[in-house]
Amino acid sequence: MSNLSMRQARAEAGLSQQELADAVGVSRQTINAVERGDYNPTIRLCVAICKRLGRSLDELFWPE
Amino acid sequence: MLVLGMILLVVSMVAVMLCVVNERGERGYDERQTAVMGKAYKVGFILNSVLLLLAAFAVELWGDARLDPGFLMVLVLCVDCCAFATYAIWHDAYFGMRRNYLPGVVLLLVLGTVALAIELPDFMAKLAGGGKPDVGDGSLLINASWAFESLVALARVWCLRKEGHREGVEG
Repeated sequence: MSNLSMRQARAEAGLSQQELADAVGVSRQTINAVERGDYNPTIRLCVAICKRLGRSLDELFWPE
Repeated sequence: MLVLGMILLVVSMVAVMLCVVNERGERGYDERQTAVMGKAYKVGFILNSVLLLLAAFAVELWGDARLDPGFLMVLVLCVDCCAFATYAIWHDAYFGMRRNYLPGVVLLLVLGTVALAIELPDFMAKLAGGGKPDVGDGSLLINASWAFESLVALARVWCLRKEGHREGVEG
């Protein structure tokens, strides 16, 4: 299940996948995999992404 | 020719080690890549077990007359390593978080191809003359593996760049 919330939040923050990846310390392919729903990130990574994008865990990672 | 092939093999290994040393201090593997590497090792291990069983069966069946156990051992190792590397490369977990591993991949491809070009004619002549492959021909397998994996890496880079372009278009 793809993570459209995260993709939308990233777009609103004006960040590319590479920029977000650099900010949270992972590879661009990992960010891509999280957005496509191919990888379930750890809580640590989820929190790091939320902090960078300025959103809560519920907003980005709660299943709809 | 065998000596030249072995020298090229050593040069390739030194080149790989230099690439690894050069990357010290850069970011390593992230959590997803670590998980994928674990699966890749599992694939390699299972394949290794199956191939060793088949190799033992083959040696038992045909004996040393047609198959050299040393060559079979190197063949099994090369296939395992290729399976591991292909899995890891295709899931973007082989090269860590380096962005520019292309020069190293191209270098390995060139070295592997040159070594193959040098060793293959002798190997084919040996087979044509009724000889059987032995452990000394293992360097041919290793160079072939490196050339193959380099091609896999280049193919993956090409796919990733296509993906990156689409990302740029979508914004």
